[in-house]
Amino acid sequence: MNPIAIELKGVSKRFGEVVANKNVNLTVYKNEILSLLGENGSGKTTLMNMISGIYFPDEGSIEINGKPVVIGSPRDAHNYKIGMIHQHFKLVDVFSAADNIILGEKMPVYSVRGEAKECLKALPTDSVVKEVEKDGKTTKTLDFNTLWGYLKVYLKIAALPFIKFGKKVAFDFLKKNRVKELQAVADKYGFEIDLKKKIYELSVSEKQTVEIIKVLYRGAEILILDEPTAVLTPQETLKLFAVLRRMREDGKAIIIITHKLNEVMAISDKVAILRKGEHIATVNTAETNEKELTEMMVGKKVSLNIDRDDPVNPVDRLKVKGLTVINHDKIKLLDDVNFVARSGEILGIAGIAGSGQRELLESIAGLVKFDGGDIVYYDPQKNNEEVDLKSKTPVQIRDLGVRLSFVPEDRLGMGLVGNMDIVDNMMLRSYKRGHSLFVDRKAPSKLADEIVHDLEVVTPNTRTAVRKLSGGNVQKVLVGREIASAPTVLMAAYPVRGLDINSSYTIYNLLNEQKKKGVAVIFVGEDLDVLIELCDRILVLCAGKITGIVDARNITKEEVGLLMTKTEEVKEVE
Amino acid sequence: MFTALITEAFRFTAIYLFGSTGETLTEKSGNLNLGIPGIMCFGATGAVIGEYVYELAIGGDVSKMQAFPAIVIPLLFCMLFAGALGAFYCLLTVTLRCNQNVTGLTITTFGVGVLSYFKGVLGTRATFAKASLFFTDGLDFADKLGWIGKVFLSHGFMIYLAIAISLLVAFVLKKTRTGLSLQAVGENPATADAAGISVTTNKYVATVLGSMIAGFGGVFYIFDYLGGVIPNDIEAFGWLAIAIVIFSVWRPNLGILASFLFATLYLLKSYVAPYLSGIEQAELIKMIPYVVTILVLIVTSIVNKKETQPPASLGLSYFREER
Repeated sequence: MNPIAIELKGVSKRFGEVVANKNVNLTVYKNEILSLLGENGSGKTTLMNMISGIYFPDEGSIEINGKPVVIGSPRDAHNYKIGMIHQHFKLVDVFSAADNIILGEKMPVYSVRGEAKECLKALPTDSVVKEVEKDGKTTKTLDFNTLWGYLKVYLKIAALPFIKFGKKVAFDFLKKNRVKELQAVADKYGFEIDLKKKIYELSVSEKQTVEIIKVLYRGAEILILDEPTAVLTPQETLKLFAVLRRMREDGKAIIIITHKLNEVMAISDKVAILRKGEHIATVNTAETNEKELTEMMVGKKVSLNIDRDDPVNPVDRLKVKGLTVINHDKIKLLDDVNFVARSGEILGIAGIAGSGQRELLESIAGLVKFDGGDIVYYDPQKNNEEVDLKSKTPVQIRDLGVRLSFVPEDRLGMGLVGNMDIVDNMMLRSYKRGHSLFVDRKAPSKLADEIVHDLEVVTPNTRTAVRKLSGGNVQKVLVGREIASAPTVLMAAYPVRGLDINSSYTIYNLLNEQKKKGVAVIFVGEDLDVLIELCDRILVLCAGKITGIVDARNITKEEVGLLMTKTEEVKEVE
Repeated sequence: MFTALITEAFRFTAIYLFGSTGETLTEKSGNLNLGIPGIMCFGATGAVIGEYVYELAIGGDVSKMQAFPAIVIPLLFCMLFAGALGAFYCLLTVTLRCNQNVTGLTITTFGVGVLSYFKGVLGTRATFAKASLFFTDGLDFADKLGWIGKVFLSHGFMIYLAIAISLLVAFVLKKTRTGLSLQAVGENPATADAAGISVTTNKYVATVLGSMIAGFGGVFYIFDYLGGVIPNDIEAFGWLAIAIVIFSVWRPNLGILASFLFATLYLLKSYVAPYLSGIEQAELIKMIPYVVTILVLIVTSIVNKKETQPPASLGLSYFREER
């Protein structure tokens, strides 16, 4: 049995009303890779942030090497040799990789007091006064040798503060051969990277390598990697795994957060599963399989009793063909996506966060330029005539008579202007109407009153800045505005995120109403129970690819869960 | 004529160089201090007050004036005044997270106003002509070294101080961990914070030191260049100093050359005036630095090399992400 590196005992963390972690027990051993598995919002990142000193647990204790410790800040975590590699790299673009690694490095401790104690040990033990026998008489004389011995020690102690200052100055100078020295260390560990290069010249995977070297250089014994493979190509993932295995052999304890089951199976020794903030189980990877892990991850089905009518004579409304979006790091955010959204139907989109949902909706809305494929809209007013939406701006799309509504994920960033009141936010969609020099305030004001009344928005009046409203009320205002324009396609990204039960049901009902009116609704959600009960069909995205379009009435949560985590096989490297 | 122009331009470089070095140091920490013109004025005000206090202390008898206190007292007062205003800028932008542009412009307005007040109050009462002699006193042997000595070595100490500070700042930024940390704060404060570097301390120290350096520019202008007269046009040089920061792509050693160029172009007008047909052309020559700055900005944007870009988080306030 390997020795325990870190042990969490009964750790809980609350953010106001929300319980992020509840009584979590977790043990990580040296020479071991532990995968932390869980859906979005299951509390994985919060848990890891408590280990790395960003949050402080409300209850419970953390033990490192068998001793209880208090990790109050990232600095403490560093002292306990805990290193975390975040999803978003913390690197300075214009510095070389080597300079990023040494950034913030502290001088080795030099204590004047301690050094002085050392010096005092060298004090001569003889007396300074020497008795000399001469001609039968004993005379006392000074022994200059001993005196010099004393003097030497005291002079040295007096010089210590200056030595410390000198060392400080010397340490402050950047060594000319610092790149070479670090490069030698990196080569020894087998990292393929040129540390002379500036960060902006590096690929994503090389940047990650710099982060790993940085953590190792600071002597980390416990490494935490937050979704390290999310940004990597399969080949780069294999390289990363090789590095992780080498570190495991080196005696490090490694915690890796990932959603991809095949990677969990390939790399880890043990898997810990979190669900809704609670620790469900820790199992040996060798004794489990993907299906079992999925079941533990998604849990038992919860019945929500959301109304769902059968679609009334659905027709194709929006067709997406071979849609591909590539970001500036040359990573495919969407890869050959094909699907059709039909009128009178709710199409759900499931997937781990960041699987391309955002890019998909923004491509349709005309906010993202896509690198391949076509988007076609069938106009119901012109007898379902085809309208090409490729490389059109939102304004052009509207001018073509396409009635597209979009409820974005970022409500107060993309959807509404927080500092403006409800009426003004309504006007964002209508200010261009009319021929008068002045804007029409009457219509938006009336619409605002209607929304506040019909959707039961809790607000002092319609002249209140929307940022002062609660999350649920903000969402009602946004959805209310979007459906007021009588859309034919309604896209909603995470419309119930952060909402209480009642507000959530209000939103479900609104979506169902639109469906009855013959609108093609596209609903991006994260709660599988909701998706399965609300939608007619579910499209599952995984790493930018469609892994399945399924009938929501005849599918289980586990099946969707498996599709969400299904990526290409990771082959073992020798 | 050419030698005369270069000689004067070399000396005049000081006002630009102090200002631009101070502003570069400040901007490296991510603080876009548009208060620099005001801080130069305020620092100069401090120096004027300091010199006045010294003159009062020796009973107003300028013949008893000694070189050391006559130089050191105004410089210390300048550092105190300019540093205090720089610290105030940090208090507003770093601690209270006010908008940097608005704060900077307010400080400029304030500094210019204060100097103009003291110009009215002290300009008639005190004469700084005697004190100014200590500032302009050059090396005795300079004249014996031919034209090189005359052009480069015959001036008061402040231009050499300016060059020394600028080289020192360039060295610290490039060769030390202190400089590396400071630049990390200006480029990516979140990263610096995670690496255990105090963002607040770095911003305060860089801004206060930068303000002190910039303040020396005002002192130079009054006590060295103008011979002890309180002016009302320091602000213009402050804005040009900010232009030089852009022109020198945030490198203090390039700032020396840029300041020299700007000084030459500024003085060129009076040297070429006799050869020009009208006042309009002379005034047009004065515009060259501004046009050149715009051109540099365009060129560096087109080239879009990361090294010639301003610090990435310039003008933004930083606070740790909170949930």
